[in-house]
Amino acid sequence: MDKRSATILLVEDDDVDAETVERGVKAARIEGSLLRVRDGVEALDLLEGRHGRTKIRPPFLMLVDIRMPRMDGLSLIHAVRRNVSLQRTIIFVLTTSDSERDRLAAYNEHVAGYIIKSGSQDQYIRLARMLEYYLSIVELPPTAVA
Amino acid sequence: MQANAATADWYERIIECAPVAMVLVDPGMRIALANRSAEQLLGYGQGSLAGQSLELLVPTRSRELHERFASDFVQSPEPRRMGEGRELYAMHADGTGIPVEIGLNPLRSGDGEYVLASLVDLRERRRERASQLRMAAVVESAEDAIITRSLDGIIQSWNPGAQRLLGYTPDEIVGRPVSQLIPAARGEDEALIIALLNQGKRVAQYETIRRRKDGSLVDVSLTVSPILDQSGRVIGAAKIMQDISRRKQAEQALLLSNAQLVEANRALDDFVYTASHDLRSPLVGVNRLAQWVLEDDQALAPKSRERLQTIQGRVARMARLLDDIRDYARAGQEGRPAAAPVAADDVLQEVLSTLEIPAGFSVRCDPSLQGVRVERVPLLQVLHNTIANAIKHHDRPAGTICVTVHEAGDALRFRVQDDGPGIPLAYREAVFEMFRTLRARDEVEASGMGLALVRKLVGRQGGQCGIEGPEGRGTCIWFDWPATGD
Repeated sequence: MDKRSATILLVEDDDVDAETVERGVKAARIEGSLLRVRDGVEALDLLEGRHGRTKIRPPFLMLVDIRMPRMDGLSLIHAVRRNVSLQRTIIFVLTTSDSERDRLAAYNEHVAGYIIKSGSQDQYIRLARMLEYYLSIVELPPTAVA
Repeated sequence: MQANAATADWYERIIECAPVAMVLVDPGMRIALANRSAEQLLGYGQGSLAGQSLELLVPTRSRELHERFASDFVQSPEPRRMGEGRELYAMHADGTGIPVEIGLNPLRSGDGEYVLASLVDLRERRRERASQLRMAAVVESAEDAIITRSLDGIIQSWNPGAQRLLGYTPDEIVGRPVSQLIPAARGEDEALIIALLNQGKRVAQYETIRRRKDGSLVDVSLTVSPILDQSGRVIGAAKIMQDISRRKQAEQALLLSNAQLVEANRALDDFVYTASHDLRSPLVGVNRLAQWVLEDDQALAPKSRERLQTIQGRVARMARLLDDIRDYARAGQEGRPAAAPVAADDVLQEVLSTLEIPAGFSVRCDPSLQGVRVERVPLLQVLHNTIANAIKHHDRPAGTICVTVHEAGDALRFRVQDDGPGIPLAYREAVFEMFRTLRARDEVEASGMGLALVRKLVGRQGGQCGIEGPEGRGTCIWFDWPATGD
């Protein structure tokens, strides 16, 4: 399977931040698609194929904001880790929160990385490049389970 | 003693020098003889009483009574005390009555019944009694609890104040051990008090807890003084106990409200920290949107392009302001445990490496900084802000900033001296306030938080800061920093 074709699921409520990631991904010329949802509830719908949403097809990894309406990022990650078919998902946290508590909570749920939004456009391009590089050398968990 | 010495004269001389005042009264109620003690007691010169009427010594108002006593005595002459149970007075030469106890002894003689009266001066005894009564009244009416106890801890007296404070009546507690008043948690009190008493020492204003009759506890201040016997041996103790529960409650309330204030202050800092952080993200969005318009729309009119850049400039200014406010709030939060002190000149070098120092400017590290050890983190920020301030507000393309430190009492006094335009005397206080700048923000990008943060950080170290020197070019900002031992 071509690793580069992995989908990036972006869970982000802020349109400008979402577009920034999209522009970064475009600038880094990452292959594969970027799917964006606005909060934890919408993300779970997509991950579990609920409420008429088509279930997302692996391979994919997640970029999750923390502060969001309805279901926040940490609750979403908690739910994903307790779902046997989703628990191995690669998740990066992308947030404005620099609180120690949030960082601790995220790593307790075994996130792959905790990234604080710096506000600079440049950071998003580097983020996209990092994801590209990551996907090019890291073996994602096998998908034929559950 | 020879028999021939026992003459009338001999006995008269014995009577004369007896320490008890004696008056011999003849059957005609005249004074046959008064000894020296009697003359001294009553204020007469030697020999001047003999031959006088007894009436001279009887106060006017008791003459009738005296006549009755005298006739009673004549009826049944036997040794007795005169006027048993009554207050008797002998009249002094100056007319005042002297309280006396009078003993009467009949002395039969050839020419009739003589009476030998002995007079005991009761004034001293009265004074003692009055003093005892006064003391008793003080103890009785005292607001404080006053208790006496023996060395082996048995309660011997108990005033109404003690009853009010601890609930026991004297009948219930006198004769009982003091341990009954001491709660288990204060068991060591008794040993401590005994030890001090045995050294003849007082225990003054000792704050402890006592148990009332109903089992409740009360905060008291205890003063214990030893009671000595005539040979100076400690035989017991007098205790004065004051109810200090109100004061204790007030102290508790003060501590609590203090803690609440600290908490409120912390909550405010937390709020400011969170607010400044959250206000930042929409700002970032604004900046980015302006950036995308600039990037994506190549056909943009030059004026619009300029305005978008102005938007970005303002956004950057507000972001800096929010950062400074956040730093200010963070300076109010409890930091991490203090790290080991570091060298002051190393701290300055670290500051200089993070500052963008324009060409033409130099920052001089005075030799006085060598060997001075300080806590790193807050000093880093204070030096950063003061030096950045000096560079930012400089009005010439080149300048020199000099950092020195000297001992000032218990503290270290740092000075950051520049050769910039100087700050007029009238503004030297104002520049330490939040959001205060002296020039338009479009002229010099400044949030007005830099020196406010310096003052807060220095204040948290228990120090002060200010600007010194005469008006004119150059600014010298000083701040006191606690000296840190290794």
